[in-house]
Amino acid sequence: MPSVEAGKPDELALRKELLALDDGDAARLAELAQRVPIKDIVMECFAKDMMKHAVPAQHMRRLDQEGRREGVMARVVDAFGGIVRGVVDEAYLEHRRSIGRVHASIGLEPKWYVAALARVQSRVAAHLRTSADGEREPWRAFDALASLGKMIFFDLTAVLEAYHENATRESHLTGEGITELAAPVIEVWDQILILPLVGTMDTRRSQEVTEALLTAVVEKKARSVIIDLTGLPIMDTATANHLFKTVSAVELLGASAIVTGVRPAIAQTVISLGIETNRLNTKTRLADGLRAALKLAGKQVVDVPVAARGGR
Amino acid sequence: MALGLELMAVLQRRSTVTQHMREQLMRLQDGVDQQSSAAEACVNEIASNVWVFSPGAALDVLRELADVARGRLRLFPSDESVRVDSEATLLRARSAAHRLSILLGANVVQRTKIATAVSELARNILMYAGSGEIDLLVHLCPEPALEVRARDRGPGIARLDEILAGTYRSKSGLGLGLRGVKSISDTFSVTSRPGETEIRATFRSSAAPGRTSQKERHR
Repeated sequence: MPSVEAGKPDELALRKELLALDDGDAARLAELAQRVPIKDIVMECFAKDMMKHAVPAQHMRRLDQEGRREGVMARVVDAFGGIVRGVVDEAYLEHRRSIGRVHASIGLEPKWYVAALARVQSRVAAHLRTSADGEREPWRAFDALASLGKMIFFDLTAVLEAYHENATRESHLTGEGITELAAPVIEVWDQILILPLVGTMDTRRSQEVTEALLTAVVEKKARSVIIDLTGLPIMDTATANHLFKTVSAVELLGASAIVTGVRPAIAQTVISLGIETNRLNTKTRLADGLRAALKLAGKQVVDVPVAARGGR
Repeated sequence: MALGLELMAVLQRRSTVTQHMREQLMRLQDGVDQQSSAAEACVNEIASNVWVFSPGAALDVLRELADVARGRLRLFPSDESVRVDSEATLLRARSAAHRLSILLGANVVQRTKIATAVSELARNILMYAGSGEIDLLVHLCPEPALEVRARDRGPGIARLDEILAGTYRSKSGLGLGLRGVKSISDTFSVTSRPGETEIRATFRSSAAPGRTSQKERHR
């Protein structure tokens, strides 16, 4: 994976050159910071109403629970305020990148960030137009806005790059755990379903698999469901909990659940973890599970005489 | 010379090369991607063979192999740290632990326990703190062991005593995670206060000579 190149001084210089961001801009922005109450503007047009829409509810709840909302809000206002500080150095670039990473990690979509920047820009413009300075020297206000525009592009680039980098890294990582493997529900015989669990069961995937299974139980009028764990690398308490819930749901629907393919190492670990497994109807191999399921369906597997060897 | 051939030369001198390994090694070319499953399979094979065929000198042999493969393939266990902030990074922490446990010569039960513990600890971080770090520390003395440290800046673990005593059950899980890690690890400690939680669990790699029987006696 390419390393983050924020630390390279020529990268910073290149970015400034591309945007024609120079010391004149820095001076104009510093002056702008004197004339415009940037923090109030940010607070007014972003923090108040936007934060509650933009930040995913789940993350917001956590902030509230931990009493961190005010602190985060202050940081956001501070970060936005930095745009008119006129100092664009390594630290500034890295800070903008960190904003992108935070957005990616809490699932805040870029559209919110972009809109917030746009709002800040138009409020600053409105403020300059109506202020006394703006009326006296409109060209100065115009130049200041142009400088602000460059900074906005600078920030956007850094934030979106970091966002994108984080997002692609995530999808890359997901592949490692084969999490995306489908868990197909197989109707192996009339009214007998098999659910092979392969790979890692994360929370989202567990739910999908269970939903698919329960739907199939109803649709196929299943009498028994065999859940085969041969392909499961580990069983932690979350996975075990989920398995129990799935088994309970299957039984609530009137079918019986048989668990097969528990590997010795997993069995040993699960017992050491202290998980109660008494409620599970387990069979060693998938074949044993199938035999049990057939028996429940009133069928049995019998040996039939085969033609003597060499008879072909 | 291709990396596989170089490694084979060392193995033939210091340990044993099985037919299956020979095939794996022949496929191992220079410029292997460390993440590729072929390279990983090869590392697993090398490590477990070294532990089986030359248990006494396994760490030395691995060290020598690592020198040969330096910069191309990781063949000697070294500490790792994984930032956990999503299901995907949870998996990354777990697979790092799995790989290290193989390099340390852990058997399949011990490997499963280590991976399970990392999974529990990382999930706790995700559920209660949002993000944190899993440090995997390699101990070679007095015997090979992997120490897992889970650190986060979350609200801390309330009712720690009840959790460890097994009298507390969380609404979301089985309430067994932390206690479970304690019972499958060889040493275990928790320090927790709001803003700073650290859980340490050590797993001896059972391939160390004379270990298994000792542990059984302790029970």
